[in-house]
Parts: sequence; C-alpha cells; structure tokens
Amino acid sequence: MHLKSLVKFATAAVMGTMLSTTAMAGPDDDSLIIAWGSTGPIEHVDNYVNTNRTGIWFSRMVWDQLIYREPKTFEYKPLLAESWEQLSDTVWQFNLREGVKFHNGEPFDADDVVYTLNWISNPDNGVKVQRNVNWIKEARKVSQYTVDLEMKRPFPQAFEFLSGPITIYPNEYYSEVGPDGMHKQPIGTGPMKVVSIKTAEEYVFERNPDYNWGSPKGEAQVSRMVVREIADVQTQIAELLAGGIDITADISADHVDQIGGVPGLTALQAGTMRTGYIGFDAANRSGHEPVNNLKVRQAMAHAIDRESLVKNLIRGDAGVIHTPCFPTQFGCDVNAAVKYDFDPDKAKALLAEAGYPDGFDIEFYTFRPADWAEAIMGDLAKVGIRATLTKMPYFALRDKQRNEGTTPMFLMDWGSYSMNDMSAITSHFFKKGPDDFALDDEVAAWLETGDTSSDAAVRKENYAKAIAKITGELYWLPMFNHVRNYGYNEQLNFIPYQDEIPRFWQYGWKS
Amino acid sequence: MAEAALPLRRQQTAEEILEPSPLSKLRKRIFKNYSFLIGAIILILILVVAVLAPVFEALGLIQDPYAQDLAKRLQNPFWHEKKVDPDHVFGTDKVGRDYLSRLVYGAQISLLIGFSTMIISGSIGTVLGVTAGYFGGRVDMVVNFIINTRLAMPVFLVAMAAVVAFGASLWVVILVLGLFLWDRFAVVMRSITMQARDLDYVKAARALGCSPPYIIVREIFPNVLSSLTVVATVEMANAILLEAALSFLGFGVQAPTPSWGLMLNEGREYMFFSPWLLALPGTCLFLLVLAINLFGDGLRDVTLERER
Amino acid sequence: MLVYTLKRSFVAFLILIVVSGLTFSLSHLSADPALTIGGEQASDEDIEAIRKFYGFDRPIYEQYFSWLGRALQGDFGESYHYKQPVVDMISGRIGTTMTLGVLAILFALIVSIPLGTVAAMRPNSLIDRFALLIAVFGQALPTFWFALMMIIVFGVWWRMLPISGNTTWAHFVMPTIALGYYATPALMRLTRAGMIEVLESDYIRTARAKGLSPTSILFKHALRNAIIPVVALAAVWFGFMLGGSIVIETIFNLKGIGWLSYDALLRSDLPVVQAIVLIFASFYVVLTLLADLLNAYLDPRISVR
Repeated sequence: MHLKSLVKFATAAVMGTMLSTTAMAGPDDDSLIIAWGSTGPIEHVDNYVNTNRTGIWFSRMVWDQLIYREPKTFEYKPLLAESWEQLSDTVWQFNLREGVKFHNGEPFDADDVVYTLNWISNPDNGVKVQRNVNWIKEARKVSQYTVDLEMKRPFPQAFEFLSGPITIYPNEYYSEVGPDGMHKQPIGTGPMKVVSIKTAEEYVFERNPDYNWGSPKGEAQVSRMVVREIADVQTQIAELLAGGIDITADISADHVDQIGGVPGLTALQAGTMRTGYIGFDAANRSGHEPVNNLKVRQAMAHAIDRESLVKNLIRGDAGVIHTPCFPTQFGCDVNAAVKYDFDPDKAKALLAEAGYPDGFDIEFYTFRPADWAEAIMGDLAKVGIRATLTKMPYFALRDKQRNEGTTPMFLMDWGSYSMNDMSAITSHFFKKGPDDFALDDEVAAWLETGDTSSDAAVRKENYAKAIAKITGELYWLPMFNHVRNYGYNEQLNFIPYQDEIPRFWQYGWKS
Repeated sequence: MAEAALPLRRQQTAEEILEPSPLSKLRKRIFKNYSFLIGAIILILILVVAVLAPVFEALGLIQDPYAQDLAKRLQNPFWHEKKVDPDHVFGTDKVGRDYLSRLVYGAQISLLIGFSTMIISGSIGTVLGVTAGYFGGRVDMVVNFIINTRLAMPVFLVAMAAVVAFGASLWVVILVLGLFLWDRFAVVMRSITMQARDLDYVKAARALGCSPPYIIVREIFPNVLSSLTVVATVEMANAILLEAALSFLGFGVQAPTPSWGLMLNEGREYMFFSPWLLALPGTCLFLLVLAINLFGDGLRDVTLERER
Repeated sequence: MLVYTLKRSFVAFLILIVVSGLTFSLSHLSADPALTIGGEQASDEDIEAIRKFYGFDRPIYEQYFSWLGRALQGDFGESYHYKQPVVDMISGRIGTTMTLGVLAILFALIVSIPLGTVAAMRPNSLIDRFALLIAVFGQALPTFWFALMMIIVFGVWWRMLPISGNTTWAHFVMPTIALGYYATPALMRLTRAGMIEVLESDYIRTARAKGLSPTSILFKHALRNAIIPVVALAAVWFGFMLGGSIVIETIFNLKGIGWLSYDALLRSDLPVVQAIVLIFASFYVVLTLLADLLNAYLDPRISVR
C-alpha cells in the first residue's frame, strides 16, 4: 500500500516535470517553432563570413538590403534605399530612407551604407564569397541620406546582389565588434531581433517593434520565434506530428500527401528555381569512351523519361527544364535550347549508330536522394546502359569531380543563390572555372560578353548562343526544377516562395 | 548492434571469447538444447532462399528486384485494408520495385556481407594470431600491440571515414568491416596456437626439422578449426548488424542494391505512414542475426564439449 | 610496480600515436581539405592559395607530425567548416555525450541489478523468464530500430516524451533507454551469477544463522559483494556507449560529439574527425590502462611478468 502510493506519486511527479518543461508548438502563445536542417548549420552568423544556404533566411530576418526584390514578380522595389538613378555606366546614386533604426538603437543613414559597402569590397576584410562584392569599386557619402556607388566596370547584375547577399550593417557597432561580435549578437534593421544563438541547435528571435516604416518585407507576425536545427527529416516529422514544431521545410513529396492527411496539419509543395541537371564529362577527364561521344549523350537524353520523373517523384509544380538555367532568370531563353523528348527507340538507334548497340557500363554519381538517380538508372537500363550509382556526401563528390575528374556522369543541382540572372548558374559552370567540366572556349567567351555588357540585348543574344551550344553538345542534360515541400500547422498563414528563401517573419497565426 | 557498433572493447582472453557468453547462456535457458536446431533451421531457410532467389524469379514466384515502375510506387502490402495490388504481395518501394523480391535478394546481400567479412577478418586474425602464438617473444609483443591499437580505434567512426574516403560500395563496406573485425580471431588463434605448440607431436615435428609454415598448416591448424568456427559466427552477426547501421546512416552499400540495411534506411522515410517498409527488413535482419547467434551457441556446445 | 606503470603508460601512448596516424592518413584520403575550406564558389587560384596557406602541399607525414605536435599541446586546429577552434567545438558538445553516456549506464545498472537480484533469488519465476526473453530478442535488434520504435510510440502516439534536443532532462529519457538497453543483459547476467554465488557463500550462511533479517542480509551483505564486478563491467561499457552514441545522437538530434563526428564526416571537416577519433581512442586506452593497473595492484605477480 505504502509502496504503491509512493510509486504513484513519483510517476506523477516525473510526468509533471516532463510535461511542464516540454515547449509545445501551436498558436497559443503567439510564438512559432520552426525546424530547419537540410542545408546544415550556419557556419558563422555574419552574412559575409557564411557561405551556407541556411544563412540566407537568417540574413533576411535580421538585416535589410538597399533594394527589395519582389519575390513573385522579381521586380526591384525600394527597401533601405527609397529611390535610385544611374549617373553613369558605372555609378548609381541611392536616396536612403529616413527614420530607420538598427536593433541597438543606432540610426540608419549614409554612413552605414558607405561603411558596409567599402568594408565588404576591400578584399583584405576577407568576405567569403568574393563574387558577391568584388564588382564594387567604392561608395561615397553625398549627404546624410544620399550615397553614390561606383562599380569597377558596367555590371548589369548589380541589383541582384544589392537585393540579395549585400545586407547593410551598422557602422559604429560593426567597426567595434567585427565579424565575431556580429556572430555573437547580430544587429541589423530587419523585422526580427536575435535573442540568442546556439550554433547548430537553435536560434531565438523576437519581433522588432521599430520595424514600422512601411518596409515591403512586412512586419513580423509573431512576437517570438524559435528556429531549431534538426538535421534528420524523420525526426522533424516526428516533432511535427507530436506538436513539437509548427513548420518543417525539408520533407519529401511523399510526405506531403501523408502529412496533409493528418488532422491539424497541412502540407504543400512549392517549386523553386533550384535547377537539377545531369552533367557529363564531355571534356573527357574520366577517360570514359562512350560518354565522350555526342551521340551517346543524345541517346541518354532521349532514354530518360523526365516527364514521368517529375510527375511521379518530384511532383508539385515542378517541371521539366530544357535550359542550363532557370527560365525566369535573365537571359534564360527557353527557345534557344535544343530539346530532347523521351524516345527510347531513338535512343537505341543512336546508341547503335555510336557503336554501342549492346549498351555500356557507366558510373553515376549524386549526393541527392538515391531514388531520383535510381529512376534515371532504370530508364537507362531499358536501352541497355548499365549505370552503377555512387552516392557521396556533397563535399566529397565535389572533390572527386574537381581534383580527380573521375565522374563520367552526375546528377546535381544549383540554386543560383536565389539570383534571378542566368550568370548565377550558367556562368558559374561554363566559364572554365573549377566546376566547368566541358571547357568550351566559345561558350566561355559568349558568357563573358553576356556577363559584362550593360546592353540587355547584347547580353540576351550571347546567352542564347551559349544555351544553344550547351544543350546542343549536351554538356548538361537539364532535368527539372526542384520543389520544396512544407508541412505545417494548419492554423498558420503560410507563404512559400520560388526563390527558396523562407521569410519566416511573414508567418503568423490565423486569428 | 550492441556488440557491433560499439567501438571500444576490452581485449578479452581466448577463454572469455570461447566461453559461453552471458548472452549465449541466456539464449540457452530459453531455447534449451534446441538452440542449435532452431538456429540451423532458420539459417538454412534463409540460405536456401538466398541461393534459390534466381530460381524463384525464373519460376515467377518473385520478380526482378531492380525492375522499377514509377506509376506503381509505394503500393500497400496484402494485409492492408486499403487498395492492394495483387502483383506485389508485400507492396512496392519508393520507385515501384517489388518489396518481396527485394527482401528475398536482400538475404543474398546480408549473407554475402557476413561471409565475406568473416573470411577477410578470419584470415587476418588467424595469420596474426597464429604467428604470434607460434613464434612468441618479440613477434607476440608486436602482434599484441597491433591488436590493442585496433581495439582502441572507434570502429564505427573510422569505418564511416573509410567509406567516405573510398566511396561507398558493397565491396568497400565488406573490406572495411573485414579489416576491423579480426581482433577476436587473433586473440583466440594466438592462445590456441600457444597451447598447440607445446603438444608432443608438434614438438616432434619441429624436432624433425619441419618448416614453421608446414607445422602451422599441417599440425596446428586442424586443432584450432572448431574454435575458429565459433568466433566466425560471432563476427558474422557483428558484420551484418554493423553493415545495417552503416547503411542506415547512408555510409553503407549503394542503392539500388537490395540490402536489408539499405532498405531500412530507405523505409525509414515512410516510418510514420507505411511502417511495414521499416518492419519487414527489420524482421529479416533480426531473424538472421538471432539464427546465427543460436547456431553459434549450439556449435560452441558441440565442439567444445567434444574437445574436453 | 612503478616500472610496470611507466611501461604500460608508454605503450598506451604509443597506441594513441598509431591510431591518430592511421586516422590522419585515412581522412586525408577522403577529400581535398582546400576545397572544403574554400566553399562553393572558390576559384582555382583561391584553392591553390588555401593549399599553400594550410600546408596541404606538403607530404602527408610532415602534415601529420605538425598536427601531432600541436595536438599534444591541446591545439587540435580549426574546423574547416565552422572556422572555430576544434577544442571549443568539442568542449561545448562533449557534455551532452557524457551526460547521455552516464545516464545510459546508470539506466542499465538500475534495470539490471534489481532484475538480476530477483532472478537470483527466484530463478525461473515469471520476472526472470520475461527479463531473459527481452534480453535475448533485443540483442538481435539494431539500436537504431529500437530508437525509432520508441519515437513512434512514446513521442508521436502517446506524446509522453520530447523527441529531439537536449533542453530538459526529459529529452534524455528515450536516448538513454535506447543506448543503455544493450548493456542490460550482460550486467543482469553478471548480477545474477554473482548473487547466486554470494548467497551460497559461508558468511551469508553465518549471517542467516545469526538470525539477521533477509532484507538486511540482501542489502548489507550480499548485494554489496556481488555488485563490485558489475560496476567494473559497467565502466567498460561506458566506453562502448560513447561510441554507440553516434547513431543515437543523430536520431534524437542531440548535438553531442557523436553527432558532431557524423556532421564533420559529411562535410569532410577533417580536424574535427581526427580530434574525436583521438578522444574516443583515449577513453579506451585510459580505461584499459586503469583496469590493468588495478589488476596489477591487486595481483602483484602481473607486474613482474
């Protein structure tokens, strides 16, 4: 009797502490718990030290850019800059917004902009992604709210960078604390303030009450937000089902149906500009005879049923892509591309013509979920091409590609850093950089012209030539755009965006 | 996984290894003397299924484990109350391959991993152990050092690193596991060889001027064979569970190989909504490992009793 | 004894050197660290500069010895990916792993000692048989499978326990059980055997004859003696658990050094991997060294050998 009641009491006490200490998701306390994980922990919270995709959503929460790119139409709108005009081929003048304050109370003005732009464009300061900033020559203060930005050369993609990776820092704070101080306590003008950071575990934010100056980004919808880093998707789903989190963005297409069927939860798919492709070792570094043969590459292009792949595995509003870039991106002209329809008979004929009537063996590499690659291998097997899959972690695969060059065929993808300009993808891969496995002089020259001309027509013309040759020679077989799959509490107002940048502050509870 | 994935293991003595372990005693209390029989029956069944898989396929009992059909992905198994596809008794996986066929062929892979690992690790361990035991002295010291070094390495972590370094494939996994799981063989062989070295007829052979390799192969080796088999079953079970754990974290064999470990990894994606994708390969793995353990226990009883 | 201690310590040290050397060469095969450091957009020139700066162009043994020299002074270098000192990253995370390890071994002891004792006092009772059955069947199940089943039942169906993270003690319940579970059969068996032996010993009989109460005999005399080897075995198992935590930490999103090693492997973050391998190896070496010295202390003949 005695013992029994003691056990009962102990059980109750233990259960009580457990329940009371477990933070629950849901709309009750005007807070939001979000799981994030697929892209890995942020290396360093300072936007200019980080190269990880996870840092992109973080930077939009905490900081603002001069220019806002409307996420649906990709139009440029005022953000910290109220207006702008081009003074010459290489100089832009920005009129800044008045009355904006940083999280620490520091007022925003031309000094912050000039300081930030000059600091990041100085190579000695070690901004990790130099491409984002190395086109800036100098920023000059004209008046308290006017700034001139001089570029090293005509740079047509400038606004993509000014509305993306270039966030404005508070000059007094940053000159005092530097990148590591910014990592410990980030200070910006953005809609959310950082409360605490536990790298690789969780980031806690609260609403910035001063974000009321009519920013097109909108004010924060909840007073408090926790973003938890959970690397494992299944663990994320378990948490969602158990009510431990409100949103997950990492689930697969199959989970969308399943989670959508759970009472209280809903799920949706949203296409992104992340473009998947099969790359071939056309420069023949791997010494794989068949893949060096254009006819064989054409055979493979006709053998793979991309429509079925998209319909059954990727789903959502994903579509087959024919260009080595995403069609909304500037210069990405779908009509310029050579298209390959699904035609196994033609594939077999091409193989026979190329001298491989009985097919051949090939190694196929990817770092993505194996089922996509497996589906592709299944199609290739039907025309006699025997592919074996090697799935590797991303960094190990890139190392193999760049240093050893022993990857005859690989399924990969590129998110263009959410930039709506073809240079962010095609020029990265085909201008003889370390990721160029085609090494085509002509293509590289066209892309160079396209990247540096300030004449839109010239750019388009050169980009179109590059697209035609890349698809004609099949250096890449463009596959499909990726879809992000979201599962969330159905009481949430949820907005997905094509540029793969979650804007967490815009999510709030339906009243 | 307990014995398997755990990287640290005290160097046991040969007696400790060959003694019925606490676990085998437990098993024995449950299965009485039937453990050998039960283990052998399950093992033979799995072996028959694995060997005859192509025959089953030819007879149309199962299908090509690699044949995919995207239009028929994730079909339900026969006991499911919702729509069931009569062509696929256990349903299909995420690219529409017949799950039963993959489970059947999976037996091949698991057994292949178990056997091959055991043969590699057995060879390494035997060579090291016999050398140390036969020559003693400095050689023994060096081998002992090697054994201790191996034991100090966190197997699971180093195996993962090796798989990253050499690229994941069935043979890399087998090789890596084989290179790691030899310590028990070495310890047992060393101790038994030491004892055998002092047997009269071995001494006689040495006195007659027979070469060490000859003595080892002809005189010592037959003596240690039964102990070798006992250790082999332990390591086989270990290798199978380790491969499953490696594949589970994505550091194991490559898709589309129908490995039970890999199927667990893939099925995990559907664990909340199609739990059989996780349960079926899990059950197969469990049965195989249990059978090997039971078989090993029985073998230990038979062989060691005979020797005593 | 002193000579023996020194000799054994030297061998232990040598083992660590060899282990770290093997890991070093292995991990330098796996990826070009310069690419990892450079990030996605680094150009060929950037990579070349990084290679020079970090000394990756030097022969591997040179790199190893310079790494070893620094490691001996407690400097494990900087993470390629996170740009933080490896020591800081590990010291910030080792607590979680140690907590998990200690809890798991405590759990194993708390389960196995009472069960073993009951089994010794009432062999073949229902409890005895049930415990045995679970132990045997569980041993053939992969840890990760068991962990996933717990998540489904206790996390999702019943919502009794938090699934991921380490913010409260409740978060450790499922990982502790998943990890500790596997030590229980061995420990239980040892308790049972020890208890049976002790209960049949002379001094317990004497105590019984003196008319001491059964409870007092059990707790004050029998258990105290039977428990010593169990605790010794538990210490060895503790070493096991640290390594087994890689899978468990990944599943339960516990950010300890097990998770860190997994994450580092995915990123080819070599300094982190090397340091963690060395830590795990050191645990083994130190634990066995202590055990050997203890044995030598108890049985002086060993140290003379």
